[in-house]
This record gives sequence, C-alpha cells and structure tokens, in this order.
Amino acid sequence: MHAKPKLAFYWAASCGGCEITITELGMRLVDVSEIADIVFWPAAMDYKYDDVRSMKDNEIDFTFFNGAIRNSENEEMAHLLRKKSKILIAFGSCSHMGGIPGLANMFDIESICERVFDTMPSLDESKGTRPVIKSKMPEGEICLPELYNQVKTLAQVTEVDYFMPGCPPVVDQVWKVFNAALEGKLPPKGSVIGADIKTVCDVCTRKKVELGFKVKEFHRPHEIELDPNLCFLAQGVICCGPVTRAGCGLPCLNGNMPCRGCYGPAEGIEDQGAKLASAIAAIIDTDDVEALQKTLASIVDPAGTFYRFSLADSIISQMKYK
Amino acid sequence: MSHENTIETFADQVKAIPGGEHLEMCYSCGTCVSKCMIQQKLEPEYNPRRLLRMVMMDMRKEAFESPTTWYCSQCDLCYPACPQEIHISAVIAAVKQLAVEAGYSTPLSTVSVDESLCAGCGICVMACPYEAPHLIQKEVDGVMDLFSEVDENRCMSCGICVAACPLGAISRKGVSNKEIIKQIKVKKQKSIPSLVIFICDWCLREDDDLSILESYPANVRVIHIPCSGRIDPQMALLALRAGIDGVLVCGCRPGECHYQHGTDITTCKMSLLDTMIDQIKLRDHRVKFVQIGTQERGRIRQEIDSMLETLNARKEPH
Amino acid sequence: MVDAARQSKIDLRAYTEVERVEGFVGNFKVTLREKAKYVIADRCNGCGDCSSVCPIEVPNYFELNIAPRKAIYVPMSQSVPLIYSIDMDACIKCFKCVEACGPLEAIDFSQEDKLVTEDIGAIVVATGFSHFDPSVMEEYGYGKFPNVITSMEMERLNNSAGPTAGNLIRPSDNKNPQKLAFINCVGSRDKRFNEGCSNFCCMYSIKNAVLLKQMNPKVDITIYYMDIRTPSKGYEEFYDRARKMGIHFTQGRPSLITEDPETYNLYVHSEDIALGEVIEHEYDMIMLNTAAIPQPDQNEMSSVLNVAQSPGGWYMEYHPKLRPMDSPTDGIFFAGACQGPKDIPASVAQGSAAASRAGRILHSKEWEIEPTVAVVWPDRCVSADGKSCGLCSKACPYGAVDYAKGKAAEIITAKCHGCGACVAECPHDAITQLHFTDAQILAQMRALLAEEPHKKILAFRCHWCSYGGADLAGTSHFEYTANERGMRVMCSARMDSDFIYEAYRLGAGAVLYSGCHPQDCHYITGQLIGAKRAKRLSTIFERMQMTPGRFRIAWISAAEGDKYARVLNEMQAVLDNMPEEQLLEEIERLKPEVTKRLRRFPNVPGVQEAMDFSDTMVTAITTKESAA
Repeated sequence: MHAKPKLAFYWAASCGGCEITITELGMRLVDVSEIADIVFWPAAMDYKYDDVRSMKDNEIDFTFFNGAIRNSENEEMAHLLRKKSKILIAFGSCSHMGGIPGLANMFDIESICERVFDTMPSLDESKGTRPVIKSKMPEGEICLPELYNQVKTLAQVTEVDYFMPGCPPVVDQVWKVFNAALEGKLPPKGSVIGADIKTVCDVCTRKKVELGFKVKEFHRPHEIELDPNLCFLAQGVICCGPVTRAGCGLPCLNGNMPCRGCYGPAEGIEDQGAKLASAIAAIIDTDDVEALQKTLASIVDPAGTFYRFSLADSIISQMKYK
Repeated sequence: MSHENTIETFADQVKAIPGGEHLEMCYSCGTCVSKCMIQQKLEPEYNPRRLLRMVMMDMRKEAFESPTTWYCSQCDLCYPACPQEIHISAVIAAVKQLAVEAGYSTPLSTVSVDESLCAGCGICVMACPYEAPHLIQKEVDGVMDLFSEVDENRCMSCGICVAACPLGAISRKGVSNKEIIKQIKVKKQKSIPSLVIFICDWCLREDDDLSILESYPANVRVIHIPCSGRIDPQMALLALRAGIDGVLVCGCRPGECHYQHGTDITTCKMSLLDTMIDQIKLRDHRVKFVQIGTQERGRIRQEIDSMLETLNARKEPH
Repeated sequence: MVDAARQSKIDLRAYTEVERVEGFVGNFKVTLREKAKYVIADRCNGCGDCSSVCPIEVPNYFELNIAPRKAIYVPMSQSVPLIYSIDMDACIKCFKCVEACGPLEAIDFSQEDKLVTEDIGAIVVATGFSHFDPSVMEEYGYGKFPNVITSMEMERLNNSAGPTAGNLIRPSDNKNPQKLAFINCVGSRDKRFNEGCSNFCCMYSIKNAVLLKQMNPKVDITIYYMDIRTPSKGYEEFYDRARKMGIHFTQGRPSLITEDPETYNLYVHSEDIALGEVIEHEYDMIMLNTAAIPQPDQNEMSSVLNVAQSPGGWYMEYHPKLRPMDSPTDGIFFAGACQGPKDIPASVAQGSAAASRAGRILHSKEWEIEPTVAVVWPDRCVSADGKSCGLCSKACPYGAVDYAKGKAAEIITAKCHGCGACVAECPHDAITQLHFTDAQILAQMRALLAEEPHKKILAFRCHWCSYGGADLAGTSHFEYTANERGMRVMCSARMDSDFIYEAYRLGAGAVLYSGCHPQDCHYITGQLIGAKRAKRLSTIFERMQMTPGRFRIAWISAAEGDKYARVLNEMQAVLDNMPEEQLLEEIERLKPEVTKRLRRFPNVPGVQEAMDFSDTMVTAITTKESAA
C-alpha cells in the first residue's frame, strides 16, 4: 500500500483565521484524514517543534504555512518547514503578502513597542515592562523570540512553491486545493492557487459607472448609505475590486461592503497598492484643480487602504528595508 | 426681396451644433494656430484657422480630410487666447461629428482593448477625458460578459486609460507597458546615479529644451510618452525596483495639458504615491513629478540637474 | 499748451478736479477742487532749487516709473504752468526745500485743497484716454520678462527728453537692442478685454519703427499685426515708406512670448498667416502696442457731468455721424479721445469743433431747445398737497425736475430733453409733454384702430431707434405685415401703460413696445425706465392669460431694419395662428380688466375731448367708407 501523503499546518504572525478555515471544512476534514496524515498542526493538536526537527528532509508532502514573518521564531519555523517539506504553500494573505500584520511596516518596531508596552491606556501596573529576549531564571536561561523591525512575507525569507491568497482563504477554495494537491494536479510552481486570474470587477454584478462619471469626494463605507446594486466607485467609496484577484466568492460585496483586497493583486499586477492608486487617481474629478486637493484629502489612509493586505510585499516597503 | 436660403450650407450645419455658433467671428489672426503645438510637433498641415475658413467656404470634403479635424485634442488652450472668443475646439468637434456621420474616420493610431485581459471594471470609462471607452455586453469565447470598447473616432491616443487600466488590457502602440519597461533598462554604473525621465510630448514647447534632454549622458534615460497621464505609480516603482536611482515625470502645467486633464490625473497619482511613501516613512523621495509651463524655457535643465544632484548626494557614502 | 497759458482769456487751472456740475446750458455752476500744491503759485518761478535739494526719490509716473522724481517736483521740464508741487505721500518734511527757496518763500506746508465754484456757460470735456495694462495677458509676459515693454515706455525710452536722453536701451542689461518686435492690438480688437479698435496704434507703431530705423538703420524691426489700418490721407504712403525702409511686417497675432533665462532674449510665437506656418523668432526687445482705454475715473466723471457712456466706457456723443462732438446734455462737448480713441488730426478737428460749438453758446443770449418739453399741471401734482411722491424726479435722466414736498413739481425747461419719462411715470397724470400730449397720442391711436382693430398690430416706436429701424425696413424693401400701424414717441420711456391698456380696450390685435437697445438710448437711461415698465406690463398680461405674443417687447436699433420686419412678421404669425372668433373672444374677455385699469385716464386734461373728437372723426370716416 502506498504511504499516505503527509500534511502540515503552521501559523506564524497571524490571527488564526486561516486555521479556523481548515476546521470549517468540517466533516470533509475526516475525509482528508482518510487519505492523508496530518503530521504537524500546533493549532489543533499537541505537536512539538522537535517532532518536526526529527523528521527527514522533504518528509512532509504539503505544508500550509499561514501568517507573516514577524519574529525569529516565525523565521526559524519557516526555514525548518521548508527543509522538511516537498511543497511549501503560503496559505492566506499574511504569508502571501504580509497581510494585516504587514501594515506595521508603516512604523518602526520601537514605536510599536512603546505603544504596546508603555503608553497603551489599557495597561495595568505592568506598564513599562518590555519583553526580554533572554532571561536568567533559577531553572536556567529562558528565551523569547526576537521581534523583527520588518514584517516579511513567507517568500521573503524562504522559497515558496505556491501562494494561496485570502483573509482567510474561503473554505471551498481550500477544499479544491486539497483535492488538487492530493490528486497531484497542482499547476506549475510559483503559481497562485485557489483563486481566479482576473479581478473582482470581472465577476462583480453590480451596475458599473455611467459615462462621464467622476468622483468629487470619497467616503468611507460607514459614512454613507450604500446602494447594494451600484459599483462602489460610482458611489465614491474606495473598492479594491479593480486590482484584486477574484476567487473569494465575493462575501464582502454580498454583504454590501467594498472589496478590501485580501486576495492580492490579479495576474499581471506587480504592485497592488500602486496600481490601485493609479486607477483611483484616474477617476477623480479634475475639473477644478483647487478642489483636487480636497478630493485627495478625502482618501483616508491611502497606504492602509490601497495596501491593506499587501504592504509587506509592496515595492515601497521593500525599498524601505533595503 | 427674399432672403431665404433653401440649401443648408456647411457653415449652417456646423453652426447648428452646440459650440459651432461663433464660427463666423473668426478674423484669421492665427493666434489659435500658434497657441497650439500640433502643427509644430505632429502634423505640419494642422491649422484650425484654415479649417474654420474651409467651413465658411463650404469646402466640405477638404475639411473632412483635413488633419485639423482629427488631431485636435480639445485641450482648449486656444479658446481663452482667441480674441474673438470662438470656442475653436467645439467648432472642430462639430466638423468632426459631421465627418464621422459622412463616413470618415480618424487617421490616428488609437488604443486597443485585449478582451482576454479586460475585466470590464469601467476604470477606463471614468479615466478617459474624451469618453472614448464604454462598457458593452459582448460574447467572447462563448461567454457573455462586460468588456470595454473604444470609439476610435473619440480616442486621442493619450494613453491615460493605458496607465489607469489595472490589468494592462488596454494598450497603445509605441507606449504599451511592455515597450516602456523595455526602455527603462539602463546600464548601471556604480559611481553615477541613473535617472529615468518620462517626458510628455507636449510640455516642452521649444526645440532648445528638447535638445537639452539629449545633452545628458547615458545614465539619464529619456522616455517620451504622449502625456504624463500615461505613467502610473507602479511604472515608477518598477523602474526603482529595476535599480534606477530616480524617476522624473514631466507633464504640462495645469490648464495647459494637451489632453485636458492628463496632468491633473498625474498630480493625483503622484500625490497619492507621495502620501503612501510618507506614511511608510520612507524619506527617500526618488520619484518626482514636475509640471512645466509653456513659458518656462530652460526649466527642464534645472529640474534634471537638481534631481541628479539629490541622487548624487544619496549615492555618496555617508 | 504754452500758447494757451499765455492767452489772457484762458484761465488755466492745473492740478484741479471737477467736483460737481449743476445748472444747465449757459448757466452751469461748476465746483472745482484746487488741490494743494504746498507751493504758492504766484511766488514759484520754477527755478527747481527746491527739487535739487530734496532727498526723496520716488518713481516718476510721467516717465512710466522708469525714472525717478523728487518729492517736490514738476512731472517734466516742459510742464505748463511751471510750478512745483509737493507729493505729501513721499515728503518726509525735512524742509530742505523751504531753505532752498529762500527769500521767495513760495513753499507753504499749511496749504489745503480749496473748493471754488465758477459760473460756466459751456463745458468742453477733453480728458483723453488711458492705456491697457498688458500684465493681465500672461502669454506676453509683461511684468515678468524685463525686455517686454509697452508702447508708452518705448515712447519715453526713445525720447530725447526722456530718462535715457533718447538712447534706446533694454531694461535687462542696458544694451542697445538690435532686433525688435512690435506687437499690435494688445488688448484691443480683443473681446476678452476691449472689443474696439484703438484707431491710432497701426500708425503709431509704424511711426516708432520709422523713428528707430532713422536713428539706426541697422536695427531690425518686425511689426506683428492682424490688419494694418491706414485709413487717412497720407497714411498708406507712410506705411509704404516704412516697408521701403526694410521694416518687416508679419501678419499673425502672437500667441506666446518666451524668454531665454540666460540671455533674457525673447521669442515670439505666432502664425505667419502668409505662410500658414507657425514661426518662432528671437528678439532683443519687444514692444507691446497696448489698447487705448477710457480713463480710470471716466465712470465717476460721467455721473458728475451727467453724460452717458457708450459700450466700452467712452463718453457717448449726441449723434455718431451728425453731432460727434456734442454730448446729449446741452452745453457739454467732447474733444479728443475721451469720446473714443482717435489720433492727433481727428482730436484736433474735434477739439476745434467743440470749441466753436461752445463759443456759440457763450455768444448767445438765448438758447433754442427742442419744443417737446414736459410741463406740470400744478393743480394735479399731489406733492403740492404735502404728499410724498417724486416719481417724476426719479424718472428724469437729466435731473430736470425740481421736486420738493409741499410744492408742485416743476420742470426746468432748459434742462428738459423731452424724453417723456416723467410724463408716463406720473401716477396722477399731472405732467404732459408738449406735442406728445396724452390726448394727441390717444387721438392717433383711435384713428389707427378705427376699423377692424383686432386685425391690427399697433407698434409704439421710439423716435431714435425703432422708428429708424422701421424706416430702414421700408427703404430696404424688407417685407413685413401690412397690418402694422406705427406710432412715434420720443422714447420708450414715454410709452405710458395707459396707452397700452387703451389699445387693448379699443380691441387691438397685438401691441409692440419697441425702443433702443439699452446702451444706445438717446436719453441716457430712458430705455431702462421704458424696459422696466414693459416688463411689468408683460407680467400683468401674462396674469390676464393673454395669448403670448399679442404683447411684444423688442429693442431694435435704427440699423436693424431686418429685425423690425422679422418681429412684425412674427407678431402677425401669432395672430394668424389664432382663429378669429377665439381672438375676438379673448379681446372681449380682457376688456373689463383693462378698462378697470384705465379708470382715471379720461380725467387727464384734454383726453375726454380727444376721445369725443376722434370718435366723431372715426364715425365720419367709417360711414363715408361704408356709404361708398
């Protein structure tokens, strides 16, 4: 009998939502366990890192790695799992493009620590206590992982075979990928899997803009009454749909919320935020050059909006840490 | 005595189209001809004054075949300059409308849409200053879907939509994404900074200024584009990623854009890019957008020199 | 000027402004503000010692601010009278001038402006013109590029009495320019700024070019022009001479001037119309031939003098062809460019004409005026009963009504021009206009509408414009409806509401209310009064649900014969489109309403008699015709 393929799941700097998605497979997970062995899944079962270390190289067939690389532990595990896995899949927005943790690249680590450990209003008497990487205890030296100044994507620390976007990846796509993986039907390495080629706009059924429409003022979704049948851009609400890969099944749009861009850039787009900025800039009403600055000012937090999930992967972020 | 005219003249037809009313006010001073840069830069036969004359003289065929009818990009630099307050571009547009109705079509090489890439998002529809692209339902490869389609007689070939299209589905011959990226490649030298200049075809009026561009050595790469609106932040960032030290985008002064709002759209794009660069606290502004006015002779040299100086200072070891 | 100053019968008041003009022809009272010079005129001998010691220098306006003057100054050495004055805004009160003046004791720091009132028989206005500021035309870079100058600056720079003693230099580096361009029509023939042609600039730029070429034949001069206008005797010959001298003339209005930031040389971009090509040439210096514009205070002066302004702001003459030097106000005349841009020969001609017209008044004991003046019936004027009214005085464009509460209004006959505005405006019918009395007009109306009034279009025309328009339509053989019946009054302001109501009461098919275009009104503001009333009437008729088009307002100039014919034909079309019964029914329906509005009309003196008389006449005519 053929040996069952071995699967591993790991979460680095992430919220854990991607892990929840796997559990949302529900009974289908039982089917998976019939045909494959889950050899490492710290979120669900009690495994130790040493279990992995003791494995042979390339022993794991598929590792689904979610979360960004934020500290030394994340990076160490990334390297370790790379070594032990035949196929390493960046699973979910954080490992794909840095995701929400990647937004921390707008700041340096000191100012983040200051906020978290020193000035946060919810801090109790522990205020001002900073984590210490190495501390001597009666039992011996104990270590904490070292926080990095930069949030990195998985691909920035090690070679990645496939990218599966989504925050989190939707369950149906996960199921499709599992099947494809187990059946050996994955596309060429380096591909984005579990998603479409074109953008969210391609599958969005909302009524598109009228000829001659231009935006005079942008609104955030909570500021106006949103028409559920009209393109968000036509309502002056920034939507990442024009640059974002489809495949999510449009849960946000169906909930009358604009696309937030978690599936990353569509095929052919190199830098999601920069390309979205050029698309958004092109729809601004420029008839009155003076009003232009006002319109631009109505775009709150451009970097956080255009690069909500892809800042760590962006060219500007890479330039910063070069 | 009867003054009734039974046959509608060409001039009557043009005057009946909104904007064409003031046709006969023209006293042929030539301001529009020299205000406009098309004759100088694109087409020696271009001459709005003569087109107006052709209309008045009932020279229908000549007017329809005249490059003036087709090359006017309605930048409206001539309108505020006209001492007779004739909305010349509107008159030309009226002639063009009649020409299209008569079965003539544009001689310009216009943009084209690759349906295999188009997602039908409608960004191009909003971006175009001329309302040339529109979305239509169309069957492609057996599937009904929305696609962008460009009215070639409206398209002025500025490339604003090419830059705006997220998926690179629209391209214009000569300035497609691929062709520009190919030009970006500069042989890198360690000691001197490399600079890519994207220069709009219209912002430098003078031949002197154009020759300034050619006076720099190979580390300064000049890429000619129809409008600064053709460039997008991604293109600038790709150049930096490719190892270029600085990117200078040159466009026209607001109000002087050859394609109405191209330079303003670039202002928006570059301003958003600047904000994002500030937000990420990357103090190294290596992408600069400058808007050069028609009277700013020699400014291009100052701008390039000051950019090179900044880049040089950056290159020097700290 | 020197001659004028020497002539014993000419009293020259320099540095004096006209504050107020009252009275009328032959009897003006003019208040003058003699501005303080801080120098006693009788004592100053013009030696200039004060000026040479004055430590303050400010730009000299007379030299277009390219040269300085002192705080105590005369604008130029040839000033007449040669009396110094102190610019108090600049003076620091060091009193060095007092010291320099010495025993003459001509300087008096305590001087103040003085108001004097003079009896004046006639006024000649010769306030000249001003220059368009080309800095608003960014494309020419004036004010931004040092070597772009105006024609007036050129005038100072090549004048031997000017700041450079006639040595033409360019401002950026004081070098003599070798290659110059002159640009004509800067701000003139330009709807954005001044629609009109400035008249003298073509000749003027040719003159400057010839002058410079005479001084230095090597200098290269190009004149950019749209059209060269040389309409007077000898002018074309002068133009020919300039061409023969090698001055270049390029047809094409430049659209842009740019400057080389290093050499400060300039580039002119224009189309060469003859070639049909855009050209760009380099010059050392450029002169902008700016438009002549009205003086900056021309508006204020026109209200002080109570004279009208033509479109563009120039003073309006009584008649453009026949009385070009007369103002519409008797006893006030225009000379020179204040009435419109004109060159020296034309200014001299007009000045001489104005002087002789003024002389005629000074030599007359009596002055003939038009007989169509207004007269008040004092017993009908409510003001005499102590009630407030004064509508007549408000309506009068000439201030000819002497109105005060407690006494009947009175018309100052010499000031009255006979527009009839007060007559029509008076709500108590207390004023009449000689030769255009209500009774006379009424009698005419009744005669014109005697037969089949519903088929007639009664057209009220003003004497100066729409009557002329109707006339032109006739002489030009423009066909218009034969149902038109024209009525002449002097001004649309005379077209009393009662006339219009009466016309409809008599059963008129349609009524035309016509007059001048607002800016053409012969009676300054008469048309405005007429237009306001016409608009009110039109609202009333609309409320009465009269078929639109049966009452028509049209402003038609004497040159618009075609328009007069068109308007009448359009009115005829309105009547043609109405079935006769419907029209008659509408006329009957409106009769009680208009009659109500006419209830006081028969009380106007003479009106009842006119009605009775005209009724008899009409009956006589109709019976005679029906008998025939």
